[in-house]
Amino acid sequence: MMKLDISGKEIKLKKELNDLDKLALDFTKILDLNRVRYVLVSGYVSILFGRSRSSEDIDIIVEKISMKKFAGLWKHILRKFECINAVSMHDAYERHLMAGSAVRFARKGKFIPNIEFKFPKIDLENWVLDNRKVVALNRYRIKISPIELQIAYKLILSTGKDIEDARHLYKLFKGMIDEGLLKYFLEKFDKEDAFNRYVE
Amino acid sequence: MKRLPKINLKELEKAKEENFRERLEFIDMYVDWMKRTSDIKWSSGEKSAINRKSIGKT
Repeated sequence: MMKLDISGKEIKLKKELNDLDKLALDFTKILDLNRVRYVLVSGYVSILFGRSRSSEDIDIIVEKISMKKFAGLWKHILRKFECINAVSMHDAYERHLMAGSAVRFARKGKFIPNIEFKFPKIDLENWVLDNRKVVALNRYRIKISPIELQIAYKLILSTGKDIEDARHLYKLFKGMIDEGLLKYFLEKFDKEDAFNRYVE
Repeated sequence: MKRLPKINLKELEKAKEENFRERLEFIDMYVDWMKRTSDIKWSSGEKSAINRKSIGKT
């Protein structure tokens, strides 16, 4: 029987790692070593919890850091990865991150899957960084968005794949999540009808 | 000339909706199966599906 334990501060999950899990773990290890706060959001959260679909990218919101700190992180990242949409550290920091867009990192010689790395732009993204949850994945630790927000946010995106992701998470965590928090996001996003129709 | 099919957009829309409903039912069945299956077994299936897709096989 699947052992999913969210009773403590951490969500405990044991699984055989797939390529996307390994990419997420390899990249977030560098962020942890550089003491940079991050949170994994969107489709990968569903995949982490067993959704059997692939993805071209893994979305990560990273706390806004100074250019000096980013320069150190950039060097460390480039030991294992390459940036596929910026030509230099300055370009990545100034033209992409500080302008509100993402930089993408892939394993050397690859294009997909890649890490979509961005700074928070809106209050919701700052909230998710402050309220991230720790997942004890085998012997590793990674940080993800609260499940309640993931379920509701997927209904904003609302492609078939997103609605399926929301349903997967809801059915898996039913009885274990904060229903009040989920209700809050559904109300604020005006997605209660979509939730009742497709997810519940 | 060969007969061409009649196209009824309402029918197609209904078929699309039914297909989506079936996908959602599949998600429920899959989650139920995951919950009663060992971690090693469900994640091994997920791993082979994802890794196969990530190297371009179908």
